[in-house]
Amino acid sequence: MKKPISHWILLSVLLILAACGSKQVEILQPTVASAVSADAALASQAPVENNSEHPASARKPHEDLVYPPLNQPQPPVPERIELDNGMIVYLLEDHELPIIDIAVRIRTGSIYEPADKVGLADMTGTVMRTGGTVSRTGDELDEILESLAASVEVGIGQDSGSASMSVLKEDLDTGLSILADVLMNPAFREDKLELAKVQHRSAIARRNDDARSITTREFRKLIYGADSPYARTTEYDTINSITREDLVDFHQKYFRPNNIILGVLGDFDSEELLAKIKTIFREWEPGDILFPEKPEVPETTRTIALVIKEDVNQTNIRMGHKGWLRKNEDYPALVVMSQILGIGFSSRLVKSIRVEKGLAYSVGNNYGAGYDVPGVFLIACGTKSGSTVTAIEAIFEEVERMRTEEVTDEELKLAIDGFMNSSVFDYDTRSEILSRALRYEYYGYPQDFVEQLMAGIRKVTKADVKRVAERYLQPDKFALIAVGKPNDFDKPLNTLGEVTEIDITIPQPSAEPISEAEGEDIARARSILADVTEAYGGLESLQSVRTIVTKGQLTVDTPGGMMQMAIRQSYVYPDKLRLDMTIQDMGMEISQISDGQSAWMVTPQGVQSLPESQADEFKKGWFRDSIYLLTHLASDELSVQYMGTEEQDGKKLDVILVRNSIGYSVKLFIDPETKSIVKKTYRTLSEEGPVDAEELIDDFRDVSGIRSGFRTVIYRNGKRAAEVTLSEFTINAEVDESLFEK
Amino acid sequence: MRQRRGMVIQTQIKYNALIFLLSIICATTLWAAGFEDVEQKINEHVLSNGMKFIVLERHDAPVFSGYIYANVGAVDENIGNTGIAHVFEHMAFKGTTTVGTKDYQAEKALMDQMDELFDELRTEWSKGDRADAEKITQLEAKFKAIQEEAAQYSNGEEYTRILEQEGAEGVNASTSADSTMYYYSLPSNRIELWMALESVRFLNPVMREFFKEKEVIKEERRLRVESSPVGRLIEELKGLAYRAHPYGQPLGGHMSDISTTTRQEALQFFEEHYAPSNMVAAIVGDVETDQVIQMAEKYFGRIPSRPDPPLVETVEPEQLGERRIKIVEQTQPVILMAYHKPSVNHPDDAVFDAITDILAAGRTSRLYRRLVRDEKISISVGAFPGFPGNKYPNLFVFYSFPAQGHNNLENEEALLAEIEKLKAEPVSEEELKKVKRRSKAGLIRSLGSNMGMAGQLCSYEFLMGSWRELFKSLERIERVTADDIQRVANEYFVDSHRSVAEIVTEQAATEAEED
Repeated sequence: MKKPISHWILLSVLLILAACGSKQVEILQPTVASAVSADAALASQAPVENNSEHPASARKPHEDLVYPPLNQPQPPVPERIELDNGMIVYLLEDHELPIIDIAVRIRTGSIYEPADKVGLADMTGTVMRTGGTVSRTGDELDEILESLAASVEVGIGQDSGSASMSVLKEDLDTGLSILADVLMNPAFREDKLELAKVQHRSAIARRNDDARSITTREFRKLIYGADSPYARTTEYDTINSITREDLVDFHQKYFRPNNIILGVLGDFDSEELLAKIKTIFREWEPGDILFPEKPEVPETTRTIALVIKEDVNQTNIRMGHKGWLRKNEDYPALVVMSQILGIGFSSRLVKSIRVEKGLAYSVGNNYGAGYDVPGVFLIACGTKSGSTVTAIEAIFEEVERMRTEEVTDEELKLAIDGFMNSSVFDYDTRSEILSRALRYEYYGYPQDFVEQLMAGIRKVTKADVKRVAERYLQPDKFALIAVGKPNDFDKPLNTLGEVTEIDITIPQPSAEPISEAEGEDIARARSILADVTEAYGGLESLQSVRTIVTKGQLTVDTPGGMMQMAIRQSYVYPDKLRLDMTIQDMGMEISQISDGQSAWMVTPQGVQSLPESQADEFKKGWFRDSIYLLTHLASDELSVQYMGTEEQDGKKLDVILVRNSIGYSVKLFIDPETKSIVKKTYRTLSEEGPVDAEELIDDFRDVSGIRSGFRTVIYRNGKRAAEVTLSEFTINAEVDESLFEK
Repeated sequence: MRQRRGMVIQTQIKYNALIFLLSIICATTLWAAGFEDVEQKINEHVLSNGMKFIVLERHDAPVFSGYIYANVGAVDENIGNTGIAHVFEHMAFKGTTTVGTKDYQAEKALMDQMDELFDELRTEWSKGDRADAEKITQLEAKFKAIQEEAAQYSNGEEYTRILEQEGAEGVNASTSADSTMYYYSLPSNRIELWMALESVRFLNPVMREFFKEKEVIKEERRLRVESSPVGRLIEELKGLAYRAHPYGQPLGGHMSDISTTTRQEALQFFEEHYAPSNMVAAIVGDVETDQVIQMAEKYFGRIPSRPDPPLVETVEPEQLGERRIKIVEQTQPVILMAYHKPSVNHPDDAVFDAITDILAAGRTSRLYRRLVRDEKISISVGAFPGFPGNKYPNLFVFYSFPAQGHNNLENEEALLAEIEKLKAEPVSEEELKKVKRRSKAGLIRSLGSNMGMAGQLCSYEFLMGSWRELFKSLERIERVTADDIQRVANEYFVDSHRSVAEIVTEQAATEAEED
């Protein structure tokens, strides 16, 4: 609020900083559109008396007010023009400020992307803008637009694409040319595709951080089914599989003039502007687009789902079922019913759950309607862990009351008056008028839909409200989700019925996808690895290795600088490993042990189990061990493929990809002269999620006829992370079994 | 720029020259006379009790937005009674002696009884482990019984119900460190309703349903802070950077303070801080200025004048060394980095605005380019002044959400490198021009919204001394030079004045301990 300078990339931080004290019921949508203002002048005369010190007998301050008639000018109507190439243009002049804004709707959406490429539609929209056009890079566009304090953006949502332009009047030509260029000639440069992927992967890694977004996401899955185009989510695999070609094709398919509605608002002359639009888009060819049927919205089945989130003290609750269409003849009555149940401060849910019971700050429902497919009727609430079930039961009670009793005259009047009196806000800004025109055009609704709706609302009766509540509200079909800390709940959630616990663990990426290995590449890989096996001491010697004990130094690059520790590694083939570390500066000893099944850690504080994900990392570590790999090449477990060569320090290294049947993979880089494995790359799990790791190995020595690298430097995401230098290396020394007992 | 089609190859040099040319042309033609026109259309009027009204007529649509800004916020709360400003804001929707009650006399008698019982309860609670559990149970039962009885007489949602029925849009209020704001829009023929209802809540506030509303307020705290890792982190940052000044207290208060707050305390806080001279109202929309002033006299003129409230006198002592906190969470890493800076009225304030723009506004900003676009170590990075408030010396905050596979340390290093660059090299002329043009465009765009204008006029009135400062903000930005930016960066972005707050992921924390 303080300054006009816009901070438009301040994300969640500032929102939280700025707010506190909002009384708004957050999930609620604003009042439904309305038309003619019923200027219900309240009866009575005399203006309000001065403040009385005898309040019990005093009139309320608003009771005696008489409102003058509302000075309501005819709201402006945007002009609609269809261009020769099929583009539909809406124009609405507004000369108050020297600004011109364009809003574009494109018929497309993520519901049309393939299931194994979830994220494609969104990424296409993003990279259309950030990846620049054939003639200008995205960075150049940024530079031009931001130096003009202008913007051009593109985005693709679930069932609609959008683009926008905003410029000061004198920059219209520049803005329009960029907008047209971005829509018609995006270049999808690879660097920005990669940037979009980084953003997507990071969003996946962060998607369980906030309880409210978990609730929204998982509730959608309950309603639509986890795999439905309306509910499915991006995953590492779907993001990784998206290529530039996919973006080019997606754009090519949907961005056609006959698939576009473009609205302009602001300080322009319609005739001149239309001429400019015609010129700039004149060479854009229309195209036939086959739209598959929109996916069905299934009937909701009763579910009670729980997501355990230990770091909250408030439970996020959402419940509801398949909703209805706006063009449903009962929609006006449904709007009034929804309003009375849980929209606004005076609604029943707010009154009962918030005002009377003090159970929630935010509670309420929506209107449950969609334009071309049924919407979702939902009720949401946040309440402290200790009142979770109480709040849910109180909500069900209100839903039931809505179905079984008629609303009061007062409630009905309040709702209808509210719509009629606020209907002027449907026309208070021209941008609202224009965006509504675009929306109705897009979904094939009549342009006077909002007026029709208002006329319908005005006629709704108490009997109508009860009838639609009974027919459309079906609490016995509600899908319900609670995200919170069940140990602190007032009553177990299964008081309400059978509970399904939802696992929200984020699936890790599969091994690097590769094309079907050519027979030739397999043979080549096997032949190189046979040479490596010889160089490392021969299969027989390698197979005779039962244990390896090494001593050395481990240097870790930590946030506080380099940390040195003495390290002792005891390997018992095929699956036991113990690492003993001594931090010299502190004289502290720490051990990590894996017995092939589980893994744990011993510190001065005692024994601590390591989570399964880390135990898995030990297993993967074994898989990447050179001796393990070289001795298992003949088995069916491992598949190998020659991937060509890669240059490093002037040397051409042979690259071989090794995978096992459960998806572990590692790339080996082999020096063709020495036949040493000088580098390994793989993905591994770090504290910040999956990272690309790289091991550089050198200082090769032969110990008892077996080759081993005495120095390994480890990089994570290209940054140096650690170094191991060995000083001792003993093969087949006796290793005490008790070292692997917990 | 118009005939770009078909021109596939464009050299970098030509292109840069073009931008440069454009920016010169545009900077000179930008809506030269516009702001004076707007400024002249704004009128102000001060009531005899000291309350100021600012009116801007905009007759485009038959609606108006009304905004009341009380110059009181979390910063005015005392230790032990934090959250009270926010509690009052909630209670301001609970009605008056006539609105929200079925029988005020009966209701009042019961509320008084509840107050007494609550005082007894509070005394007992304060004994901590030595409290008499049985006595507490008895008192609570008694309290609850009276609360239920009082509920029969109260109608706490009536105030907002009237507004909703009369077509109000966006009914809301909010509390910040510096201020408390009450706002909504109405059809323009209902200006008198706004006057009548807004004035009575500051004339005869009745804190009915007080103890239930406190439960709602506690849910709000759980929602925004206690159940949100970033919310928790932000609170830690404030506590870290401030030892003495109340900017360090949590916005919305400590949970235990909310629990123990009484109705009397809320009323006292109201009496002390809601002096008419400490409030300003703005009406923007389809109204007649004369009529607004006349009605303001009639309705708000009834509020008795009161002495100006005390200002915060505590001055935060100079920070002597970097402070750092890491909170271990199950969530992904986040880093916040704050430096002390002076208040909004300091001559360097506009320089901080320019710095904010250069570092953090848009895809061409320095932080975005480095951390997000080039190094790809962050998915969202930024910087902003005025945290937690603007009125007193405050913090300039940098933040970053590391990209997957990257950590806080890398982001901190990159942020520090950008700060060092700001200190070492003057910013370019192009960057400065962009700042200036964008602040003009931003101001023009903000004029289009009744509510946005009303809010800005009010906050400039109190923060900067006059709503006219809104229009002078452009001049202040205009005067900022590259030297100013370098000087300010060197003066304020000092290691010893830095506080760093981080979210460290649980697993990462265990490993760090191992090392």
